[in-house]
Amino acid sequence: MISMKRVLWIPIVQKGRLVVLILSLIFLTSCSSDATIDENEPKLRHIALVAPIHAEEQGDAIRLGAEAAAKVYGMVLDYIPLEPSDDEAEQLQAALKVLEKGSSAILIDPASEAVLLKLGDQASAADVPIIALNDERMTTGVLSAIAIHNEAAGRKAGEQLADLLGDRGVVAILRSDREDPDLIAREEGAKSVLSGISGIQIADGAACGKREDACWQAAKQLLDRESVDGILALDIQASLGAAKEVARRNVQGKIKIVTFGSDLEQLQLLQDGILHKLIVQNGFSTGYLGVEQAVKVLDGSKYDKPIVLETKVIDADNMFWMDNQKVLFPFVK
Amino acid sequence: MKIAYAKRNSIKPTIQRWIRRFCAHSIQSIIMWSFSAFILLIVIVVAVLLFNKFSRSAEQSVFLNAQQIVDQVSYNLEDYVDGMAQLYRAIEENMLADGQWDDEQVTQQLNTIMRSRDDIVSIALFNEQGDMLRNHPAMPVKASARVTEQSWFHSAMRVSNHLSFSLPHVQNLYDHTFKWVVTMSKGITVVHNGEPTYVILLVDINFKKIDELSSRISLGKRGYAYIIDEGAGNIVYHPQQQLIYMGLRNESVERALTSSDSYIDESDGVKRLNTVKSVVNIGWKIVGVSYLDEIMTTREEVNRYLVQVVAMVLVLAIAVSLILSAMLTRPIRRMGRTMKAVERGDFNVELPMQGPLEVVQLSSRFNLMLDKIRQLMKQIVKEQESKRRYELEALQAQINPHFLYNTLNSVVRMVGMSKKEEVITMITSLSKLFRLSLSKGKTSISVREELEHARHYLTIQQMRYKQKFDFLIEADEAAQSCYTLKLVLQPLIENAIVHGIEYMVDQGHIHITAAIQGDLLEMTVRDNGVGMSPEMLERILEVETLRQHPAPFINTAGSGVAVRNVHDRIQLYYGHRYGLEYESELEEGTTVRIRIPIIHESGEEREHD
Repeated sequence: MISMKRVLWIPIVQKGRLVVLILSLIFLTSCSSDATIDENEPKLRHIALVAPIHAEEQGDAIRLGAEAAAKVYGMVLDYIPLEPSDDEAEQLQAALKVLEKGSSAILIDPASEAVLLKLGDQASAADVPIIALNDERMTTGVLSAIAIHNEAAGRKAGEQLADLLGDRGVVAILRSDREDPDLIAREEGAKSVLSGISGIQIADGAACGKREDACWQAAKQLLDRESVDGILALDIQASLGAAKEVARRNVQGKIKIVTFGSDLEQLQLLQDGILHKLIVQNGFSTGYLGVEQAVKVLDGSKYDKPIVLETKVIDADNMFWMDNQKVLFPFVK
Repeated sequence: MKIAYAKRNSIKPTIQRWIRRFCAHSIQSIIMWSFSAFILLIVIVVAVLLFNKFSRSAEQSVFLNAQQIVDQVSYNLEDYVDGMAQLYRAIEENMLADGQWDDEQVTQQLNTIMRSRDDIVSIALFNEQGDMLRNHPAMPVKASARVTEQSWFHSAMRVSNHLSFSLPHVQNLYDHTFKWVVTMSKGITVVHNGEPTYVILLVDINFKKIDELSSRISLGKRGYAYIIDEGAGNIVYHPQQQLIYMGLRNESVERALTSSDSYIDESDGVKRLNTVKSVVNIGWKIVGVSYLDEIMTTREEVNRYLVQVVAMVLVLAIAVSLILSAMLTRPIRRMGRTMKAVERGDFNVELPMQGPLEVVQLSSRFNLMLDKIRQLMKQIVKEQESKRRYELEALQAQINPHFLYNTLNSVVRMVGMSKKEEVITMITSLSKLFRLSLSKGKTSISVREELEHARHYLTIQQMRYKQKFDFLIEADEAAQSCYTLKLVLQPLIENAIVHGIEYMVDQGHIHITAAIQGDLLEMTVRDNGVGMSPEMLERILEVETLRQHPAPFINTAGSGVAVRNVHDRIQLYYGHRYGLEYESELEEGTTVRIRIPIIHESGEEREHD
């Protein structure tokens, strides 16, 4: 009995050492499992989307698209809103602030080339890729761009106007007073088509700023000066100004207006028969593809050409087609 | 530098020893490796089983989760649609019960309903021609509305008295509102102003609510749900439906239409789990999409975790088995070391009586065995000593007759020469010599007696050698009372006479002393004879030769053998510290010193004590 007891006691002499060893190994195991948990929770990347100025529904569509893509690609989208009164200076300021705060990539629909250049320079220095939306210019720091082919869109608009006029009549172009190369490309595209049609005569156009009233005045002057059968309005404000003047003169339907954009007001005017054709680009796709491109750029892909989106021609008849509804009217409340 | 070298030197053999221990078929290595292998096997089996169980249950939970979420969305939608149908009935009753839709009471009731429900966009009543009879809120229908061409109008006209739900669409009745709505419509015949009239009641509900119900679900990190129309397979709602219309995305609606459960969709190269559930009262189907690579991630996580656990357990198992095997085999190794010591000839070791029961038993038996060996060895030594003593005593017995023969020969010769006086002296000395030699059989006698014996022996020899030498015996009183082995002087004296004096020309002289020197009794026999060469001096006390070759001991003539005998006897009795010491120089003489301990009682008395 005594000897049995002694046998049992022998390992106990070593027990302390053993216990320490086992405890330290358990400790090590727990340490490593902690590390595993940490590894499995990667830091989410932030992508900023700086809102476009005066884009309204189009801007909302871009945001929705970007949000959808961010969810798909596991990103956090920081949306930087702008006030309706904000201008390019405010947009640039907001973009630079985001850059300073630190973001993996910045998506911006720049108000002007200057905004894009300034932001591009600083972002390039900070090694943050810029993805330009609705802009074909891939300047310094801009690593990818999502845009429509403005010249092609212009040609499409020209064709639609000529079609509405039955290839006969006087056409005026209402443009922006901004030096926007996108708008210039659209104008060139449209002119290239219209000038090729013998029955069509291109009258002197007019230019207006970002305010609707200014465009209305420009349209008024234009219609006072010229007798036109068709107006090609190169942006939303121009189209609204022209529509207002046409409605005021009570000549809606007689003067055919073809324009760009899918603003709700434009859609209303389209349904009312004041505007006749809209060349529409899909804002949702722009936002979605913008985030998608940002992810690809961050993962090391290189792009030297913008991604060109198709445009759609919308009129009063097809605007409520199911496919078009979903493009034109995002689920905004 | 030196220290490092020394360290390396000490570490290297340790490592080698450990490697040897674990590579060889040692018990420790067998225990360790088998223990580790066993644990590893069990852990791997458990890990594989757990992995299967974990990953299967993870998959099942994802399947179940998706199913539950989709079910939940479906129930919510059904509930919502049911609620809307009830609301529709309430509006219908309020507006059409008495066939009066334009009195004040109806307006109030509609107001109440509209105020309580923010998801109702508009309520409108049309006649068969598409003319508006009443609407709430009251707004003019826009000219371009084309009411009769709208799908909800067709549905109401096609089947009367059946509430139909339209697909989500943009409301196109009033100016400046392009809200996404689902239209509830029904064609009813009512009696209005006494005439039966067919009217169509329309209630537009904001799609926002359905959008919220469908979009606020989470199926993993990237999962989503979409709704299709069971009839035509149109996508009613999709979180990315604009992408679908732009052709940037695809959903395999056909499979979802025919399926009523879960299925794996690989149409766009990514494995996705689609979970389908019908919303019966509205004819829609909800399709929940989960990404399977998220499940795979869970599986990989489980896998990685299990591999870590297995590795840790293995390390733990090896460490524990290392310690355990070392602990278990330690007594055995200790036993081995002890046995090796015994092998080297160290019998004064003992195994400690501790460790496991078997080891204690083994140790006990080993100790018993060792004890027995020690006893046997002691016995052998004792026996050998006794044997030696007997041999010596036998030899001693042979010396006396030899001497007696020579002496008697001399006596005969002296009788022949009629030397009566000398004969008397010689016989007297001889008889005394024998008496002293016998000494009642005792092995030790007093120095006095030993000197007496020597004197008689010298007297006899002096006569035999015709006064060729003279002698002198000197002894302290204290020395004389001490005890010594008997007959130690006689062989030395014989040696001095035979080898030292016999052949010398001059008169020989033998000087015998006995004195106490410190803690020793010293007796000397000094002669002035021919002396010995150093070689001979060396040979004379070769004890080993004596032990190893006892045979020449007896046969060799001369007293060289006898001298060794004396030396041997002294050492046997008193120990190796004592014995003879020779000093000799050729032509000068030889001195022999006998050193023995100072003993004041006879050997017999000591033994009795």
